[in-house]
Amino acid sequence: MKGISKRFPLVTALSDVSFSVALGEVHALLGENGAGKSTLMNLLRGLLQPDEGQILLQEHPVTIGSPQQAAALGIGMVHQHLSLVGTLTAAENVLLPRLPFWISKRRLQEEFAQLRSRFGMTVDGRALVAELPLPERQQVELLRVLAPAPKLLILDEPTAVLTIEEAARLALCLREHVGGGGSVIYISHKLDEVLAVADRVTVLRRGRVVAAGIPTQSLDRAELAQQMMGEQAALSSQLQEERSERTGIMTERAEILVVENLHVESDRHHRVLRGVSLRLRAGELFGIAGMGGSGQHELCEALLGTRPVHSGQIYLGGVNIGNFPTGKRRQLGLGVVPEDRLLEGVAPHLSVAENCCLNPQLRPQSWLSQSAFVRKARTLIAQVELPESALSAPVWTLSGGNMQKVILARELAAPSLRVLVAAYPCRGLDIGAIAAVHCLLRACCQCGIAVILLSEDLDELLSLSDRIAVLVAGQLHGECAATDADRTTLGLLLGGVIP
Amino acid sequence: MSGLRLVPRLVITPRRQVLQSIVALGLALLVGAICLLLAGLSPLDVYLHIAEAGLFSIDGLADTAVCATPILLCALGLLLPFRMRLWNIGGEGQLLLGAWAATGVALFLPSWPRSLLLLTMSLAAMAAGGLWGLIPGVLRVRLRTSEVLVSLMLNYVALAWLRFFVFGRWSENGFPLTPQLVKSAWLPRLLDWAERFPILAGLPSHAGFLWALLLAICLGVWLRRSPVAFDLRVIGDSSRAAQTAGIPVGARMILAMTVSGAFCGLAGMIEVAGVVHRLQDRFSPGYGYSAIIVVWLARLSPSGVVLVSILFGALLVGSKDVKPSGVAQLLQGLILLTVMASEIGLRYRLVRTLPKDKI
Repeated sequence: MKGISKRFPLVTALSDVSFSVALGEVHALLGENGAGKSTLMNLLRGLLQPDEGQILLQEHPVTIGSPQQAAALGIGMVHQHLSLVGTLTAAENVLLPRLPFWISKRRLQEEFAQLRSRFGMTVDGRALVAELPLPERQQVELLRVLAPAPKLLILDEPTAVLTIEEAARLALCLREHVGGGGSVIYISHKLDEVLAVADRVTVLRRGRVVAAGIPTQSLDRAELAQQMMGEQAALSSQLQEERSERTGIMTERAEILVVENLHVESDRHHRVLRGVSLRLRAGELFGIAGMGGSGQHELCEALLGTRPVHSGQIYLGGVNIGNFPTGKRRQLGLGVVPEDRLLEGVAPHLSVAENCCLNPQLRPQSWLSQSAFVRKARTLIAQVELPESALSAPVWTLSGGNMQKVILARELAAPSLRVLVAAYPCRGLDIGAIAAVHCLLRACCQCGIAVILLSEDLDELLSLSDRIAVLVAGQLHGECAATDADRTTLGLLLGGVIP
Repeated sequence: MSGLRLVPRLVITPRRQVLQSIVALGLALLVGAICLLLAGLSPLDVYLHIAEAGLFSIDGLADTAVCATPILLCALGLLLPFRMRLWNIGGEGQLLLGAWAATGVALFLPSWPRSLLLLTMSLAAMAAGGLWGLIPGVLRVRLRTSEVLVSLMLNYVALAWLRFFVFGRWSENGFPLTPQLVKSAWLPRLLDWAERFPILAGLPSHAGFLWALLLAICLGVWLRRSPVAFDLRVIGDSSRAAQTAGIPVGARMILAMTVSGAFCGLAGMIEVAGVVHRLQDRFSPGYGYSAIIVVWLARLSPSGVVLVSILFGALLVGSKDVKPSGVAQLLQGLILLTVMASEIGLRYRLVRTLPKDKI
């Protein structure tokens, strides 16, 4: 890929990116979320077209117009989210795209067994995919993509759900593939894994290549982490001053939220939070970094009361709220900006005005009317600069940024609010909306409201937080004041390297 | 290539909803007409007969009011859970159980004064129906069972329960019906005043219809104004958002199912006290099921439910003496189908796609 640029409205996802994979090598693509990894791969898969630059395959320029075309050119991809048919067996899933009209079950299993042993997998071909545990499903997915012997194999965060043993097997399997003359692009943010599997590494940051094709033998982990996270943006001296002033005040304030040794299970009864403890003072902003899927989702749900706590305590203003229903927690002063704003934050077909009054404690009066909704909503949206004409529109017609403003306005309006949990409040927003959200969060803290901010954007966290910690594999690590935060350590933690 | 494409509508106006229901009704009549033709009947004659016998005569209107009452009450009840996408299919069973409870009260307390007796019968019927709605509601919330299946199956349990009593315990001389209830357990009817106003002679309309109308108005106001009703709307639109907002979703679901059952139970009591005056096997021609169709056709609006219930009552009354029988069921079934199908027309609009220039 040569000199590739891709621009979306408002964002330049890739600018002048060149990237090459040699035959028979595993090339890792590293970068934070939003660095442009996915965009680059979507270009290769034919889902997007580059604005500038060209894609060369074995020195011939190609245009890839669709995923089918990509497959015909020998490009196969394993997605982060598996795409298997649950009601079919593993063997059927693997061979499905290439099945002849008629095949005996025995032949099918034989072919599957052959393929399986070639790549050193263990999964049972007769098992229904829906009944397989996740790592084995991933084997099936991998075999499915490897079956037509693609020239170029793309793996998107393949080890997000794998155990160490499974990851090692994956590495072996990839070796087998490149040994046969294939090439692999390996997308990840886990440094250790990349070093174990890849021959060379390219690091993307904000749509630019910051390190191109470095051989893994001559690589320093800390250096790589720093490259991934970027240089420390110098905080303006004024902000710095303000910060230290705040830290001074903070220590005198009372602790408003105390979480002690919290254990929570996921839907599949895996323990996803393993002893999370945190303490929050009034007016403090606590940033939680970490890649999604390390327990963030479950932490929010456990705090909000929509997921049962396995063990551990949550105190809000001294009251143990661990067993309280959501409504009561909200009455006691908990507010939430949920992760999935369309699914959890709003009732999409109700009007903006009605959505401003979604929480029982925010209903305009005990006897409702449309005009009462509108009157109440008008006072709320004034603080977030939303046009008044939007009030009667269904909320799903709003842009993501405006929707987020509605949610924030609503959450901040609760008179009892003392702790706000904001999960990825800026995800998918444009720059203007992000600034507005940041501004509101700061205002929150100034009013003495404690904020927990979950984010994948380290810069965002460092510029907003008083204290910061990284949630990795269900535990909080590296807690420190944001002013003392060391990017390299944080970067290593984000990469899953736990000291 | 040019073609047609479905594009989601941004806003669904009430006017569009009414229009869509009318189109659905028209389509059902059209398909029904084809079926009638195949059966060797003249569709026009049959439809005119139904309209005349059900709507355009004093006797017919009086009968229609009687028939519409249980449908209306059940439909009002079903409205609540339907608004939160909770499908109570058990209206029929809740109605039967309500009728059973009301009959029991009337059989064992025959000496009570009329107003007290009627009130007790109503309360007992609502409690019994409410219980029958509570069960699928609680199971849904606590154990995540499907309320559709549980409520549907409970219909058959209720039917068996009712039969156990009318064939056995409460049977009159071995016939599958109970003895007639005392007069003080009867709802006042128009024909009760025939001596003073001869014009009312033979008109079976009873006070239950007025009760139902009154309840419809109350429910309509409650749905617009009450915070709890707002909760139901939020849950219906997005139960995850409702949960996050702190609305007690489970409790609201159980409440809606219970109140729904209570309404259907009341319908059973009114049918017993106003029409049959005893409990008997097969006294309901599936009012609880018709109500499901009514709620759909009325697009979950209380005023719409009143209108459509009356139309359905007229359909039942008017098609009573059309041979072969079953025209009413045929049309009801068709209406349900066309209404469901017209949901697509409600949410999307057809757009002609422009031919794509190649290269």
